[in-house]
Amino acid sequence: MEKSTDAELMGQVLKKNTRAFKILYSRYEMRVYNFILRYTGNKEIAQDLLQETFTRVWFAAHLFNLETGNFRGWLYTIALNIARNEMSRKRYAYDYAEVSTIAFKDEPVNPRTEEPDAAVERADLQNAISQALLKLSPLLREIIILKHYQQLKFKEIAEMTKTPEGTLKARFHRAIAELKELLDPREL
Amino acid sequence: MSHENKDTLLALFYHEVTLPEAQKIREHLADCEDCRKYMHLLNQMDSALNQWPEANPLPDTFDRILATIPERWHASHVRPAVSARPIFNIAFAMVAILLLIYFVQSRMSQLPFWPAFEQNWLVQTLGSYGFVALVFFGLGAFITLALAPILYFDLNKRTLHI
Repeated sequence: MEKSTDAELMGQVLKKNTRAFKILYSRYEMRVYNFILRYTGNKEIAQDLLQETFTRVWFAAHLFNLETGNFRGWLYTIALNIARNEMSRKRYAYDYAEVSTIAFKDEPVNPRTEEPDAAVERADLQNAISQALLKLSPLLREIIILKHYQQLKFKEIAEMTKTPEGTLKARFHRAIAELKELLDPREL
Repeated sequence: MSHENKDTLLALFYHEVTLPEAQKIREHLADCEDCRKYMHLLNQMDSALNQWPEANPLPDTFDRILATIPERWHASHVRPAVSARPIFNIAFAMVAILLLIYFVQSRMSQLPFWPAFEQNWLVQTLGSYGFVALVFFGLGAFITLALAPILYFDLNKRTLHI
């Protein structure tokens, strides 16, 4: 079953096979989690939304087209909608940027391989990147995450978001320009 | 640089062009300073964005998902128990109203002016019980409408206070 395609596994998920569901989860957990984490900038929210995304996959399996469906695109569409809904709620609108600054504090420093100063510098740089990304408007952040981090093609993103490819590319150019402004040149 | 060129460079950067197209763009890059600058910017941003490393979700996430599935399934598939209480309430209210009408009618029929009153066309049309019912519901409607503004503003006031 480990070598089955996503569509084959979804066929099994439709029959309520939890083993197939777990394989699918293992294939995509990191990607979906990091997608949501970069979108929201908050580990707790990302954790909750990852759970919500896969719960929806289980319950909405009958909506997936086993013949022609692209599971990755379908999964990202679910995750994106959940993340968009969550971030549109006002309760996170004011504090998510601050929360993101603690995103790297719990990452251990290996004293044998990394000097403490270098580790601090690395954490500062990571925070600067995450802060800059979180300062972008949601649509610009979305395109950077889907294109750069998730390595999706513009065509796939266009299908997922129901947005013309040209619009997405224009957003990408704008996002790059804004990121350049936001990031200090010495940090690049 | 035109927008079209930027899109082409973006396609090259993310390997979304065919080999002949890539070759053509590279030839253009050799001659175009603006395009080279934009490619440099894309490279800079690419390395900057790569500084944000991937993180791991909690290891027990899948177990948590599995744990929530039966609860949600139950919630979405089990119908709430049908309660007979509202039906009893309505039946009780109707019986009470009918008894009240019967009681009022029997009291009114003992009044001295009732025989003359019974000659009235409305009483003759509706019957004595029908007439009492009409008076009863008319009064009820009047009181409700009279109280409605008071109740409405009072509730609004309470909402504002909350």
